[in-house]
Amino acid sequence: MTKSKRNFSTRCRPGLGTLIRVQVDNEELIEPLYARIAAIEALFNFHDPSSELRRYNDNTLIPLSDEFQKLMSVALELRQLSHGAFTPYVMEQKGQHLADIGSAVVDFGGLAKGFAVDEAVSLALALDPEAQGFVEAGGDIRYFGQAEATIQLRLGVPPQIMTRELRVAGDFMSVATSSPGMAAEFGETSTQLREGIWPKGSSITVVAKNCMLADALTKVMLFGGAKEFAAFRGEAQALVFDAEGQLLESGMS
Amino acid sequence: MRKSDIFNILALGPVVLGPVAAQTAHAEIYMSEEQAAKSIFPNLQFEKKQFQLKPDDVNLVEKTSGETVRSPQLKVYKAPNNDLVFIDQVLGKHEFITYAVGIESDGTVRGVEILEYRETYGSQVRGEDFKKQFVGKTKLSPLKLDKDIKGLSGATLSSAHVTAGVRRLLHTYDQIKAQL
Repeated sequence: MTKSKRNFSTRCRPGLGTLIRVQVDNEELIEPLYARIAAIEALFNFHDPSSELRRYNDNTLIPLSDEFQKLMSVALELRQLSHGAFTPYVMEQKGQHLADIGSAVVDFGGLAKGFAVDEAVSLALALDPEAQGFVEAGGDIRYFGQAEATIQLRLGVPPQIMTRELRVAGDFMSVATSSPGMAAEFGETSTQLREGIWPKGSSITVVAKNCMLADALTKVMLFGGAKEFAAFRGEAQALVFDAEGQLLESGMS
Repeated sequence: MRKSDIFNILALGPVVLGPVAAQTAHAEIYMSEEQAAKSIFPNLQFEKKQFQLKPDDVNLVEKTSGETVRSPQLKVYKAPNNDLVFIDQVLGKHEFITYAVGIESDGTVRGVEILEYRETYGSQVRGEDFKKQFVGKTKLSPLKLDKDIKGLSGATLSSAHVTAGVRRLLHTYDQIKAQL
């Protein structure tokens, strides 16, 4: 199907503990995309007693979904490569040592949003290979069907917000941002309690080839710095901004 | 750690970064009330109505939902079969959100759509210290794509407030359905 004129529809709905925005030039994709995101949320909602994640953490013996197995294997690989800067283990996210506590409770909070975005984009392109647009979940965004895109990064600590335009292109169409405004908002929905290594008010933006990786690598940069980020050679770029929106670090992995 | 004052477009590997600019009030309008009703219930016709919760109803809704009722006035779109779309507003940490909730006549949520999202602090950024950072700043890059695609940063608290609002409106529906 050839589209001579693109008519984009945009929706915004709550989901994954944040707001999910979908923009696409084929309105028929909107419901399937939100349904896919809802299905992933049902699997990985840390607080929902019926979620697969919760039942896993409660030591209920269940066959694990393909999605769960994928996230677990990616999470463990990232943990190893980043020397624990990224970790799915809640105790380590709180700054404790896994071996000391002996609790293997996991939370895919550092991966699941990006994964959901990637899954939605994959579904969009499977249903309509010529589709264009983006899927965004609370600051994690992935563009599809276009050669380049520009987003407005919002930096600093509310209410002192600065913006900077960021243009991405080619394979690097996924952008994840971790900012103090977002960290403050996470509150009890996040298990993360560790202090990052950057000055107060810093924001970290990672540009990568997929959103799950971008999402995870914001944690690697936040807790492990450029040193741990370097392990992901050629796959991503990190930008660290101070509270005034000035660039502190632009690590190319 | 390297610090640089960047006032020009900066090419950094695969990305291009523009200069720092002050945030002006940021708003996104996604759809109208009527469009939201149609999106949630595609095959229904709606009549726009206003309801007023009585003080007893307000107390009961607050008690059963655990949420504060900020205004007893309700704006709804009602279908002949008593499916309803509520139009409601909540305040996130720094965002004002108008949204629609569709509730079926059996009391279940059919769908939620954000209608409008407006940050409340953009116009407040006027302090002298803040202004000093932008001496010599250039305007935002004139390079624009013909598609205006903007990113939205974290909105977790906003989402929680919308979800709480949906919970309140579910209980509100219970209270008013006898009057429909």
